[in-house]
Amino acid sequence: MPQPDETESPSMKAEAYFRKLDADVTAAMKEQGFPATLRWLKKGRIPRSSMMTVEGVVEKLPSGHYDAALQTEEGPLLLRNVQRSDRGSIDPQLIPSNASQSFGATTDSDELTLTADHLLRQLIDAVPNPSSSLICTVELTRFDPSERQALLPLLWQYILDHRNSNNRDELIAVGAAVRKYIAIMPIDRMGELAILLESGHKSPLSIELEIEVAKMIYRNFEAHPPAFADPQPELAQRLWEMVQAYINPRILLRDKHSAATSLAIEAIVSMWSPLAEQAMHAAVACPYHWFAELVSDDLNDLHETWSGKNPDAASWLAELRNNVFAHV
Amino acid sequence: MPSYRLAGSTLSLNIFDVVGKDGKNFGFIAHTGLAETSGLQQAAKIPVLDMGPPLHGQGGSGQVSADVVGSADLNDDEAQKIKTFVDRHANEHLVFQQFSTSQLIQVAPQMYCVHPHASPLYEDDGRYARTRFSCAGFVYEAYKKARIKLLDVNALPMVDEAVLALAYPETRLMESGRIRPDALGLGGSGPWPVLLCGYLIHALNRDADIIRNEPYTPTIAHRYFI
Repeated sequence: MPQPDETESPSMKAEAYFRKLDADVTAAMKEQGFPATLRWLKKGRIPRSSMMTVEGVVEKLPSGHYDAALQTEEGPLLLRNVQRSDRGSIDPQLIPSNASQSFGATTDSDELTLTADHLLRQLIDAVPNPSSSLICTVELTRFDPSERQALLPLLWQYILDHRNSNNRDELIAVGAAVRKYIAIMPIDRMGELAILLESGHKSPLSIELEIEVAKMIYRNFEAHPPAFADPQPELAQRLWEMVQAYINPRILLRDKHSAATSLAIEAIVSMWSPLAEQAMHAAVACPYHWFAELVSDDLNDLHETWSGKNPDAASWLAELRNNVFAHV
Repeated sequence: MPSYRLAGSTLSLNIFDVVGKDGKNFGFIAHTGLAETSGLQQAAKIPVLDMGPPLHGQGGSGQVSADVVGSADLNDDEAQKIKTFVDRHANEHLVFQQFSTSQLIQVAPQMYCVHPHASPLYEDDGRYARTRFSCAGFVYEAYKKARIKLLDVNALPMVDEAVLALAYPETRLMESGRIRPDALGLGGSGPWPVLLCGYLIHALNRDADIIRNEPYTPTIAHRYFI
């Protein structure tokens, strides 16, 4: 089967592109002046001509759009998040404007600060209402042990203060705070998470946040198998309440409840809880066979992970799984 | 069911069919995702669940202008497993919607990886809050959750930088230094056994029972589907 030529170097194409861009923008600047050229560029169009000196870079973004930074004789030009046209990928005449940036205007200074101590200071200064973007940035940042000690209560307070929010961005940030908090919290304090899953709070935790809590509990114990059985009985009980509420066939297929329920079952098992057998039986008793298969497969993966970390916990899980999921 | 290259402007899809998009070179499948809904659709704007990046879950506004389609004729049980898989992972990628495009580039290695095709982003002690995927890796793992191993990922062809430049235009960002290749899993000078989108379309280009029973072993030519 003949294959298209792959030998043309991307850098050669880029060089040719910039030579052309250089010439076009140079000419436009000389012919119609900087303000007019800038107006054209902001519309994503570059008038053709053959003069002017421009240097710059064009980068394709993960979104498929482009950022361009051009150094002109009149100063720097930035084009953010512009789209190319399907009619011609390298013809700057055809680059359309993009007035609907998802993320708002960006500037050279919008690089994220991922320095832990700086972010921690920002967070302390912003209490009690840190921005959702700050919380999301915190999730992406690594903190050393002493910084984690300072960070944990700030994240916890944010979670408690905003978990009932109706604002989507804030709920996304609460999810980020939940993941970061659980990923760095001392394992022996995980029982505190039971508060988040209590029923009877003034408004229930959203299903998305329940997924994040259950998932992170599972992941923590996946990485650090319990040294002894039933380390967090209250937390296991709250997860079991979730399972009982959601595994009803009238509920399970709604929205994201199958994700929340399967993760809650797996979290109970990962805690080496006495409720594990009941939870696994609940999966098997569910009329949806695929659900039991899903849980069984995940617990098989957990067993593999545990085998190299805690043989006793792995042995307990193998026996339980063989008993309950024998025919799944 | 045979995979096919689109000829018209509309097509009928099953939920979670695999759609692929050509890159700069005709036939080189550079992006892939899962059809979000079933039914008649416009080929130029198919709603998808995909690792853009960022990852688009249900209702996440992912869209692909599709050039090729592959289908495993999923049954309801398999589709439910895939839906559950997506629901489990989508939330942990929502944070990236808070960032500008420039910032997304900065944090790309925290949401995206090229090799391996899926990889947790670990804290120091082995815990993790997010799984990173490549676009092909996201599709592969979704089907794997439904007990459909589309590919033998231990027997992927080795590919070099020139191939990766076609598969990942973002490699220009690596060249410019804004993303470190090793942060995406491309350590050393290569070649690497990268899971490419075209392999998935070829894997689906078989009978339904074979798709489920025999992971496909692609060759380097299968990065194209023409």
